[in-house]
Order: sequence, then C-alpha cells, then structure tokens
Amino acid sequence: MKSKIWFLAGVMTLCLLTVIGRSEAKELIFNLGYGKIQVIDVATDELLPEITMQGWGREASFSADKKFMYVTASRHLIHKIDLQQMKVVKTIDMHSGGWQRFVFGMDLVEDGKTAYVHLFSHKTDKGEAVVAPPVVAQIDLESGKILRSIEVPIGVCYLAYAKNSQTIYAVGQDVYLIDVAGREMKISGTHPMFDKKMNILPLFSYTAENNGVALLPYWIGEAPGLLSIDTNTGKITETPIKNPMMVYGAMYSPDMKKAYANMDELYVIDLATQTITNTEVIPSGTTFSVMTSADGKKIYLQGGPTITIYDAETLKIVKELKLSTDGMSLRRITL
Amino acid sequence: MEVYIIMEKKKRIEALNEKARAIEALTGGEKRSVEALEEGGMLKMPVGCTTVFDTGWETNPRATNPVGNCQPSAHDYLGCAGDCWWPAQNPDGLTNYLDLEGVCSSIIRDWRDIK
Repeated sequence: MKSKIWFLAGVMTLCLLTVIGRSEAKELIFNLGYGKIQVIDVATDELLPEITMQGWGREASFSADKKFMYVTASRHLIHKIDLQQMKVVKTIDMHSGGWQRFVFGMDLVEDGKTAYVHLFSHKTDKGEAVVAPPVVAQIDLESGKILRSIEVPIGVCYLAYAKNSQTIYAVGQDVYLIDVAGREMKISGTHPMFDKKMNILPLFSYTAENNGVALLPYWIGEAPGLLSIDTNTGKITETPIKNPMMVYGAMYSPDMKKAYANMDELYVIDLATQTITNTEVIPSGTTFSVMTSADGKKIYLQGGPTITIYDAETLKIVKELKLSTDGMSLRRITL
Repeated sequence: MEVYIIMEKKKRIEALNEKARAIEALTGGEKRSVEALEEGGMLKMPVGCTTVFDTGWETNPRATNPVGNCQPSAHDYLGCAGDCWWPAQNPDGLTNYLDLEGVCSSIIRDWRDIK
C-alpha cells in the first residue's frame, strides 16, 4: 500500500512538472532583418515585440544555456541579445585596429565566451590596399579580440562547429575540416566539391535546429543534391536528387526521412528514394530562409517581408505573416 | 556572338598600315571563344548568376515558369546590397552605403524612401 502511494505521488509530480514545463516552454522564430529582428511565437504564429539592432542581420548562434543569441550584422558587428530581456545588451565591432574585418560564417563554442568566425580582412596603409588572407578565427565575445586563427582558402561562407570532435567544418568551394582541439588550429581534412563541379551557396543552413546536421543544397551542372555534414558523427554525405529543383535552403523533418527545400517552390524530398514527393509554388514569390517548427508540423519560409507558414504534411498555407522588414535568416529556439 | 561577327568582318578587311598589321598579328590564331547562352539547343546559363541588369534576377535553367529566380526582384534587393553580391545593380552595403537598412528595411514597401 505504502509503495502504491509513493508510486502515485511520483506519477502526479511528474505530470505536474510536465504541465509546468509545457506552460513555460516558449518556441520562438527570429527573422534576422534590417535594423531589427522580428520575433514569431510559434504557438500562435503571432508577432512579438521586435528587437532593434544596428545593421542588417545575417547569422545567429545561441549560447548553450539559451540565455543569449549572438547575431552578426552588416558583416562586421556581433550583437549579443539577451533572450529574457529581448534586447541587444552588447555589441562588438570586428572593424578595429585599422582593419576592416568582414564576418562570413559564425558558430559559438560551448563555453559561451568565444566563437569561431570566418573573416575577410583588408586595410589601407599609406594609400595602398592591404588584403589579408581569409582566416577562420576564434574570438573573445566580450572584446572581439582574435585569440587564434588559421588561414583558409577563399570562398568560405558557413561554419559549423562540432563540439564532440572539436572540429570546425568550414564550407566554401570545398569543405575544410579544422581541428581546434590543440593549441594551434590545423586543417585536418578536406571534403572536395570544387573538383567535382559542385556549385554551392552555403548561406541558408541551420545546423543547431536541424538535429546537428548542416544541410546544404548543391548542383552539379543542373543536377541538384543535398550535402549533409553531421556534426554529431562527422559524417559528410552527398545525396543526389533525381528530380530537377532550384533551392536555396533545406531542413530535415524530425525523423530525418524527409527534407524540405525552398526557393520559388517548396519541395518535399524523400531521402530514401532521393525523389521529390510533393511541391507547391510559393505565391508570394522567391523565398530564402526555411525553418521548421520543433515538432516538424509547420514550415516557415521567408521572402522579402513575408513569412509564409505551411502545414508540413499537406503543404497547405496556414498563415501569411507580413513583417516590417525584409530578412535573410530564420532561427529557432525553445526557451 | 559579337566575337563571331568581328571574325567574319576580319575576312573582308585588310590591314593597310603598320599599326593595323601589328593589331592583326596580335589576334593571329584567335578562335571563337564566346557562345550565346542558348546556342546549340542546350541552355548554358551558369546556375545562380545574373546575366541581366535587374537586381537579383538570377538565371534559371528551367524551361517552365518562373523563368527567372528571385521574383519579385525586390525580395532579393537588400540581400544582395548587404553582401555586395551584385555591386553593379545594388548599393554597396559593405563599404559605401552602410545605413541603407535605416532608410529602408523593406524594399517592396519602402523603396520610395531611398534617395
């Protein structure tokens, strides 16, 4: 009898905690816009108060404790946004010491104090242009100071950090694996793409929201495919798609059996058969960023100032949100 | 196509002075090196690059609609301006027009604010 009472008490506590947890969990999607970030409450698909910032947003990365989001803006500012206050609390400028440094690719380290960024840098010296080789650098997020760096081939636009293997995947004309475990960063491998004539635009990939997998559309000639970089296992996979499609971004379904990809159309791709199983023309025109809700039931597409929200199962439009800013990236977090 | 026409003309033109002969010597052995994008029945457009002066109006290898990507082109305007993808067609948001987003954060709605 006594054990039954304890069992029931345990079940009730668990239920209570689940209810509390559910009521407090808030899933948000951020549209990195121009002079502002607009915030969508995924539960209601309503807009929440916007976050003003200087510059135009491009990339974002969340701290492991989910307290902060770091956003690159105008390719040289990094804004620290407090996710409780929903405002910028600090900004660092990578333009310093006479150098103009442009950020194309950023991912945070789990310590929350540093980040890896890819930098193009130049300055003028006595009227002459000085162009530094592109580097992937680890920077201090408080000061912006470069702690260490490694030169990389030109063309990198996307970084994905794998904490388990202490590896940075830098995506450009090829994928460069950078071992960051030791004192010195070193390139430990290359996944070739350029020699295979793979054409890639690695701007619309969201590893953190995609089960830790960077999913990047590519083309060889006119033949499309999806490149996946699994930061959990280190596996890099090329998946040719048998049907024609032109897409900017792609995201997995939660079971990772399907992928959703977008540009002028929204495509559903069956990854086992490597075929497109459903497609819809997007009525508002071209879209750039694609994001799913955490449960995979909704797909959010951003094009200009419009967010079109689809039912992932039927590809019917659930809602069309009109924003006050264009955008480039949608990012999602559950707080 | 232009190169082809010039080469056709060359057959009918004769160099008369030293300078003309020097130029002719420079072009000696020149072969046809440029082809129209659709010549030969196969579309030869590079994927993802623009060939016309409309912002973000990228080429598209598909024969079906939409025939060009980034429609309306206003959807891609600030994306291109910011990162300076097509500097001939957009303000350069990296160096020269740093506050463009302060003037106009949505091109399709606010483009009249750009002075």
